[in-house]
Amino acid sequence: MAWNDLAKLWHDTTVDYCDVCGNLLIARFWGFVSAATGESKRCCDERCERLYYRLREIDGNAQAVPGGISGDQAEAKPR
Amino acid sequence: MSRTGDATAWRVGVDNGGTFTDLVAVGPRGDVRLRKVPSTPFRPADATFAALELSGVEPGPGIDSFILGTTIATNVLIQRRGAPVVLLTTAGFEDVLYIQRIDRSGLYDLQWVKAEPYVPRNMVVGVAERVLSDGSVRKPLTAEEAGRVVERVRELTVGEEKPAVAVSLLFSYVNDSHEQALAEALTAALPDLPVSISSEVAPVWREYERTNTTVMDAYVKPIVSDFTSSLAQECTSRSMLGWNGLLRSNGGQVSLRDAAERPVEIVLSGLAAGMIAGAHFAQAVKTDKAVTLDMGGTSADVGVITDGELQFSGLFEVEFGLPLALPILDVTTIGAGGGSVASVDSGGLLKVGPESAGAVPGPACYGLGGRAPTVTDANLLMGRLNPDYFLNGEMRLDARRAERSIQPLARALGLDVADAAEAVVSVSIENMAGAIRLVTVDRGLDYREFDLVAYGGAGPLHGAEIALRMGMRRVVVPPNPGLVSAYGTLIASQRVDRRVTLVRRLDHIESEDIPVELARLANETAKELGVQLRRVDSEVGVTTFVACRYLGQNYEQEIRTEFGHVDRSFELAVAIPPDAADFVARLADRYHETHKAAYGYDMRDQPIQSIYLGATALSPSPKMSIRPYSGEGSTHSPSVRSVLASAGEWVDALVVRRDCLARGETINGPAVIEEADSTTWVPPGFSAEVHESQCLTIEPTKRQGR
Amino acid sequence: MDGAASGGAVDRVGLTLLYKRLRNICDEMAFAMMRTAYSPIFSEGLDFSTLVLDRNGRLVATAGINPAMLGASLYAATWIIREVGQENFSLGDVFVHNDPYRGGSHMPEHMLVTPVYHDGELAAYVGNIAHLAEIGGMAPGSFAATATDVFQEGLRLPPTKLFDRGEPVRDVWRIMLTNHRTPDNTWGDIHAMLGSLRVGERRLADMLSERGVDGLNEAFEQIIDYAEAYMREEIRRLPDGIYTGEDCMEDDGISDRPYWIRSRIIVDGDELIFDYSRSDAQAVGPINAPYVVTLSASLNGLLYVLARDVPVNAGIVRPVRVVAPAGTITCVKLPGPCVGGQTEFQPRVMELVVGQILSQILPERASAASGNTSLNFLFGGVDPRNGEYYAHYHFEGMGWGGRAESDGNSAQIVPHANCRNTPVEIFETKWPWVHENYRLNDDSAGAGRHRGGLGIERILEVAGDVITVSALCERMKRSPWGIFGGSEGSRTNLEVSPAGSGDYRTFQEAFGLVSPSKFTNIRLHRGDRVRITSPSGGGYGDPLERDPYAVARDVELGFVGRSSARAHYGVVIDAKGDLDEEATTELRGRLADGVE
Repeated sequence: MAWNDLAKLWHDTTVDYCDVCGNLLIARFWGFVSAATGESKRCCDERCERLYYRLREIDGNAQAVPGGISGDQAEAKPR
Repeated sequence: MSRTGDATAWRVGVDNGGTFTDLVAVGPRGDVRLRKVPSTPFRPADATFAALELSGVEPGPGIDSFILGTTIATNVLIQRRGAPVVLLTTAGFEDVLYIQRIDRSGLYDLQWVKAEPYVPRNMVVGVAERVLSDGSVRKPLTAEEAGRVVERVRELTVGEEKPAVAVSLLFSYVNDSHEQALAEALTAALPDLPVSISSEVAPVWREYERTNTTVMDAYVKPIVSDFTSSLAQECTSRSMLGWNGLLRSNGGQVSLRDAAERPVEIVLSGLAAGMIAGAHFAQAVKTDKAVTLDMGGTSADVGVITDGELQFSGLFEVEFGLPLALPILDVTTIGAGGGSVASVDSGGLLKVGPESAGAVPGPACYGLGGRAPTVTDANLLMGRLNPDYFLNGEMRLDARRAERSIQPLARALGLDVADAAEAVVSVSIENMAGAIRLVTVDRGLDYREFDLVAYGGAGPLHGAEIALRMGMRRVVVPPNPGLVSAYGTLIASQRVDRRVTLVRRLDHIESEDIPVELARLANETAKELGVQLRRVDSEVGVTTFVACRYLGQNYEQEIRTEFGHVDRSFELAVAIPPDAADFVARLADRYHETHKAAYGYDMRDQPIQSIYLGATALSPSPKMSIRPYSGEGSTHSPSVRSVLASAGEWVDALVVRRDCLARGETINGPAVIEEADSTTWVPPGFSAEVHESQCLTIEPTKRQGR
Repeated sequence: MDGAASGGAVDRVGLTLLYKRLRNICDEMAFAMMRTAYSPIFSEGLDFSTLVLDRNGRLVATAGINPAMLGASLYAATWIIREVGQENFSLGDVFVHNDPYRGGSHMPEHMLVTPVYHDGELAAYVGNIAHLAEIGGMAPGSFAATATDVFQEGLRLPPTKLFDRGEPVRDVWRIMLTNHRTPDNTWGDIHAMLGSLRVGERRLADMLSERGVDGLNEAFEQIIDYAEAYMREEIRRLPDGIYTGEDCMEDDGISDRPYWIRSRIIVDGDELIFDYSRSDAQAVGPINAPYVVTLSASLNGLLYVLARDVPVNAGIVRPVRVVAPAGTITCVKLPGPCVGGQTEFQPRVMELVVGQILSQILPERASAASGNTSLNFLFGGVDPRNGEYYAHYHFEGMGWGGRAESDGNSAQIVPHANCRNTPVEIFETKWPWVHENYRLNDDSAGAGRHRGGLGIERILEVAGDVITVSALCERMKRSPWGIFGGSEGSRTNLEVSPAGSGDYRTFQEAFGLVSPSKFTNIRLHRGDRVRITSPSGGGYGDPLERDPYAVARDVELGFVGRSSARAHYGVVIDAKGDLDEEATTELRGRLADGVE
């Protein structure tokens, strides 16, 4: 669970997507390893991580994770 | 009341509003008679003559001119009580009134219902004919087809009460021959049926706007004709044989007969009256840049004066989706008046207007059953209005009711009542500031260089704070601010406006005929005004303009040129006489400059295209001097009242009657200046000076005065 | 609410004033753009938005011109700022950007952004987004319905400097003007956008001299917080639960199969999740949506029923999450094409949200399906009147769906946008077509207690030697749905009739196309005619409950045919055209019993 830079060369114009919500990742991503599946995930910010668990919880196959699911990607700040 | 029965002439102006009919009469020595009576909406002539009888001016030959500003056409449109109209369109385009422009007013309003056309679909007749964009005829209108159409119109109008016909064919602004032929055929067969044709009413492109304007003309025609003929009759029966007319939306006076010919041109008659007067008083205090603010009970009308002249616009909407495409005085109306209702929305923010308590039930403090808090209630609670001297003391204001109305609002905002009242006034001031910003910025004007002429019953109460908030130069409060509109009808010029479409590229040889056409148009316009004028010695001035745009753009800017006498208002501009050899080159130059001034850039290498030409013929009303206040002799003594000034601060304000003030006198704020039809608030740090013209000018205090 | 207005109640009034001023600035910017633009899609169509953004690029206020641009308004500027790096901006820089893979909606929509400084300090941004009518690519009008990747859709620009410290970056301009088919229009329209930015800059400068950079940004923060609180309050009022619905794109122009969009809305206290993860994989053709388009559709759907007066800014998205996994039709992956996502997918999803899902809890605010296609019709060629090349992106009004209290409006732009039509007189002056008609399509609307609105019919004749046409639309195979017992509306149709012939066939039949609604670069010749029929709206509620006098009036005006009145509404009109009450009651009784 940490912020990572999406290090790209200046001539690399490809794009990356959030594994949780699908939005495009800009300049950096929030990485975490799913406690449920062991997969590593790249997402927009911590709230996407919470969203990931909340959706699993709603679908009845994961434990609750405290904290809201909402937020605005543009205002996420690295911790 | 003593009659001024001497033979010298009176000039009478009347503003026939929805609630009140106001009359201002100016006598030969500048003495003024004022009268306000309740309106009689279904027989507007009644209130008009009632006001005259009560004014103390003898009806008769002593009245030299008698001019009305009227909302009759506006109300017919809003209340939809106009004539049954048959619309003739090019076949295949019968649904133009239903299709409109396909957009909506509220972005997120899925429940919005599109404006109902003034002509139902089964009253529209398609005509087999077609003109193309260059004016060439693709399908000629045959005599048989014209005959068939006339028969169809006859069938549709049989049994209808006072029907009318509107004709609007595609591209008639380039080639009007088919419209003219239909009009002739109709008039020949059905001589009593009024016919409005689009190439005469509004010869501009965009078929929906043109058609709707033509339809509105037909729709109001029978009622307006009845009105003007009953006025004419009443005038004749009183031996009032002077200049009897109405005020048009373009701010010019027009004879009763001509008004009935093109009634759609009086739709904004009432609004225009107020603006004309605003411009007049701006001129009286010698300002060339001003914003006029006419704030009444339900709405505020904002206009702009640059180079000493009111601005014009080519479009006005009666309601969303019902446009009027005519040169009219450019006015922006917002739902902000003394009766505007304050409320708190679901996010907890304070809103003021556009809902209004109107005249009935009115603000809570009227005690007529209104319970919603209004701007007037807030002003009363702030001590700015005098409960015992409102509308000349004819109505007592009830502060307890005002307080009760505002309490729930105060609770929702977590404020005490006085602070809530201040908040209501403050939001209402921002609403007006927003309208002023938009109107000025639309034209690339910086409002900080402008004076604010504030009138209407509620304008003088808010003017100084609006100007303060926006950093405007100073505030001008005309005499009798509540009756300014009636005054405006008196001082308006006689005026004729004409437009003709002429699409030419300025960089091509085809543009050579622009000055020729302009001169022809100017002559025609002057001639038309000449017919309307009674006196041959009247001074007639003509100004002309060419509307241009960069080739590829879709909106035009009007570039003034000059014809006839020198146009005073355009001294600053480079005048381009139409006979100048380099007319077109100078026109192009002016266009680049104007575009840059308005939008911050020009494109010197882009071709420019003319779209239409315009000419305005004016004959100014004779000058007159007025003495609105009896003045110095009055004995009402000043007093002191506690008024909530700003940010919760209560101050002791001087309270004076306006007719006690002498010319040149200065009142330092905080002060409240009261008169029969309005109240002026002079905030702390400001002073009001009585100008030579008897306007009050309010500015930040200099070091002198009372 | 108290959290939203922590500055106290007097500040709350100040906030109202400030927000009004910002909205006024956006309106002023919009007006400048409308008056000076070249393309009728700006000046008549008003297909643009104007924005004020805080110093972090978050949306603070926007002139509500085109809701379809909401998603991009929220993210496209952020993209520019993050990717370029705030530290690399200077006074006088203007960035252009149209990349759907960087927060844009689709490539014709270009965003311009400029930083606003106060005493040398970065204070805010002003921006605008506008649809340029021609940006190159495989088909004139840049709406290539048969594109199979984004590179065929036109010139793609990542955040790129158009002005560097006030000086035009000529190489970039030249690249753009060289790749667009109508460079004069691009030149004029981009200037209109630049003029609009200048208006915004000037007005923000006034506010900055009053409040300073920090003061203004604190106020921005409060406005954003306010919008968030407003949305949370509205969402809180909805019953918690999971609500689902689905609809599809009928084909992608490449193969004849539908693409399903499956949505579930999870209402969770004062927060709400839109989950599209069960939707079909992305299409080969250009009906896919970038993430921001799905976001836009979801938020717009919400705003239509919940909070139509909320200040539209970055705050509204905080309590809302949209899950649209990359690689599905709801979030296209590079290099998938997506020009139609904005105009076809977005309204489909918006109406799915309003009419199929939220209608389960807010029936009184719902509406049946509108014609629900932008009906994009593109053309280009050389105008014989002046020898100049032209291209245009045309869209069509249609019928709206019936609503709880009223019939759907006829001839109305698809609800996720708010553009105006181009008047016939401007159309024919600008481009070599002659209209045979432009009218409502009679007797086409979905029946209901409140019927749908009528679509239109437009017949155009080619008046140039050759015109190359393309189309990208929907609702030719599947009708707009009714709700609560209302019937379906009618479908789109695109037909062609060769010069001299009176017979119309669909473009699909005439030219052997895969899709009737999505095709590119069909060459038409002088005298050929095109008939465009736009769909009508679905009905709301049982047609047998419709006021029989309203049906009689519809018959009188020709909106509903006599036999439809009988068959769909059980209303009998007598020979004089009047309502036969007795026969109607009797017929309605039989229809209700299923006898007839």
